[in-house]
Amino acid sequence: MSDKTLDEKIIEEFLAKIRAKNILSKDSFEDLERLISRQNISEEDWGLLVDKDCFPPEKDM
Amino acid sequence: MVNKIKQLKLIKFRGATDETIIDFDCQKNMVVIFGENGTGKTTILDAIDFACNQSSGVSLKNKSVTKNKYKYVNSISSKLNDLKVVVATEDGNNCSATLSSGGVVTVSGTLPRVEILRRDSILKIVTGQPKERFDEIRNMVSYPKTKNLEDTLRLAYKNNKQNYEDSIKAYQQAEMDIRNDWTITGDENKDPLVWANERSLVVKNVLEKEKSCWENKCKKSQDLKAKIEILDGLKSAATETQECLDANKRKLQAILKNESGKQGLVSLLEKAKDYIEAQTALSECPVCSSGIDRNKLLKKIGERINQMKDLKKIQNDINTLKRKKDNQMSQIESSETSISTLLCEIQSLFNQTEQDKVKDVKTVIEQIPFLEQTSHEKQKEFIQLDLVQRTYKTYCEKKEESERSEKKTSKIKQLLDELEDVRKKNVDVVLNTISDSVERMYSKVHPNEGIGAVKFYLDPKKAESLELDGEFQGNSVPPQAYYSESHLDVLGVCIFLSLAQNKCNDGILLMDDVFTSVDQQHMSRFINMLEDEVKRFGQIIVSTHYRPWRDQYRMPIQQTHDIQLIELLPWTSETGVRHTRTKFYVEEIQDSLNETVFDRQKVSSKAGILLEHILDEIALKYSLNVPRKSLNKYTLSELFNANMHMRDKLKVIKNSSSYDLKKNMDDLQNSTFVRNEVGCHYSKTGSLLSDNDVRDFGTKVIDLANLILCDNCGSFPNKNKSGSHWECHCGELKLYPLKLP
Repeated sequence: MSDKTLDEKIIEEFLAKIRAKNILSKDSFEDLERLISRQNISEEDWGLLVDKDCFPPEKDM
Repeated sequence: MVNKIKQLKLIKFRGATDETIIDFDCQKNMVVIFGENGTGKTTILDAIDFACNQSSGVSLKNKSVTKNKYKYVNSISSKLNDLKVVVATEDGNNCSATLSSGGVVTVSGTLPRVEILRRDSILKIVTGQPKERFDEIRNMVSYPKTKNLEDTLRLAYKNNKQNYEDSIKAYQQAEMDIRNDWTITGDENKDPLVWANERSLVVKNVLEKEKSCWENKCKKSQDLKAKIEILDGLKSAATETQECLDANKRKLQAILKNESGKQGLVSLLEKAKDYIEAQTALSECPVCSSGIDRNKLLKKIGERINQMKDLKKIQNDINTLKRKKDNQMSQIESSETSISTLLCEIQSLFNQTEQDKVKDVKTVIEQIPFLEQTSHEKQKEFIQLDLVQRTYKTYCEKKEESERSEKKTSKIKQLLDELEDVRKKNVDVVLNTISDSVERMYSKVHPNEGIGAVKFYLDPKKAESLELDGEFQGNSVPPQAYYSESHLDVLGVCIFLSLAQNKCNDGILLMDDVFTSVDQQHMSRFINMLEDEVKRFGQIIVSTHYRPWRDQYRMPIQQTHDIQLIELLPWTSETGVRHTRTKFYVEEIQDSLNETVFDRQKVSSKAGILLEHILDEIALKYSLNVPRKSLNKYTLSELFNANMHMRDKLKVIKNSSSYDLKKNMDDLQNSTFVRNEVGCHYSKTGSLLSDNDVRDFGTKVIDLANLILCDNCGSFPNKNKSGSHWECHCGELKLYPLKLP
């Protein structure tokens, strides 16, 4: 049996699916990984992440 | 990595009033500790729980003793700090656990993980509330971080969706307002939004400037008109003042006609009066120096002044009217100047071609209605443009916002769907794993009984709520509502075993005399199930007071090398917990054969029982015919006769060699009289048999037992995996045939 907790398994699989399906851009995916590594995520954090992914600053486009 | 307990030492711990040392055989995965009630079974398991789980409450935690349950963990008449439990593990570590006066367990070193099941908690997970049940598997199915991610993501989705819906409503409303404006003022040849867009491009400042200009013209003209009206009023008032002044003058002339030559007398008298009043000691006339009475003179002057009062009033009125008129004339002059200035200002607001319309005050005033109307129209035009521009701006902003929100909402939903999907799948895997392993174990104990098919699931409407369903006669029901106590007991143990497998894979499992309500048949199946499951754990230590469990392991048919038997001896306060290694039956006979003082009866009796046991098992395995008896007890002769016709077909293959059982059986059948004559009854014939005859019988029985037991796992060939023969637990020994031809 794996030593990973259920939380770790879910999050790892979730990230893998996001990456496999290209749901987020490369930059946003890295942001998501950073976000998830934090203790808690707020609704605003998701808002900023998705906003940046949907409407990246021009210099990033 | 399995790290089994190799040795347990108890000092002043609960029932261990003296030092008790128990050695565990690490070659064996299961230890069965058998003891009558009160021999110390719970003490031993408590000691492991105390040390490995740092549990100061041990088995007392669910009992109604005082809050400080640790106070009763030391043995009677000893102190808390005398208590010590030493656990030696397979990896060579020795860890000692002690208890502080405050109830804290201190352990030196790292001990293996241990799960313990006690009788009082066996039904907790089955009959408890869904929340309590969830608590039991919390470590396996809790996902706090995922929950935080999912909750906040769901909130973000909800808020974005709301924002999207609000912005759609707002831009639709703005579009409707634009259409309404377009209906009133728009260009019917253009689409309303195209029209609004064009209107939004109109520079509002020009119109605003034009509107202000007309407002200014209008206002100044209105001011001019107002000033003219004021001037007219002033002039009218001045005329009135003049008329009043003239009337007073005429009145004054008339009075002065009667008092001719007395003009100025009143003022002269008043001055004289003031003079005399100031001269308090006046006694003669200052003009003629004749003697005068001052008071009488003052009185007389006063009377004369009063006679001249009307004249004085008229004079005052005339003076007042003169001042008023001067003031009015000044105002008129000022007003005329202001009007003139304002007219110039107005004229400057009009261009050259329009100067005729404002050449003088009169023409300006005549223009006022036109100016008012034009100013109003310009204002209206400006307001309409401003409104369309603002509405179109709102329309554009909200439309863009809705498009942004739609895109974001769609992305958040995508993330949420993925997370929910992954979470559900993983939780289902855990729950299905538990359900499957429970079902696997439960069906071994209760096969073909129409119960089982236990399924765990989380109630989607409640947080941390674990539901449980099971099958009963083809229906899905809550087991706790339909199953008997013994069925629930077995279910509780199966669930515990399943959870323990998940929680402490390769860990140590303790079961403290958990069965009381299970009958013999189910108990046997449970023991078999436990033997099958033992390989999934690092080590299982079971305590029981159930003697058949102990006895069946002593006999060769159930004997297995994978199980260690420990037997507890009666407890006394002086010696505490005592134990001995339980001897297997074959071992006992062998020891008796080797004793210096040979006990003939013991050997023949025990060998006879062992032979009965083996022949009975063969009769059962091949469904041999024996005389029907109510108690299923058969003599050795009956059992031998039953296998007579198939004896030549019995063959054992072990260690790559084949052994026919016929010769062993024939020899033993010829020796059975030894058992009857020496081991069972009083008989003179028995006395005629030599010790060697008895030894020979005992040895032949042991040889037969050793032949049909696996040298590797020690078990009897009871498994039918191949479909062609019976085999032992490890598969090294094979017994032919599977069935009689």
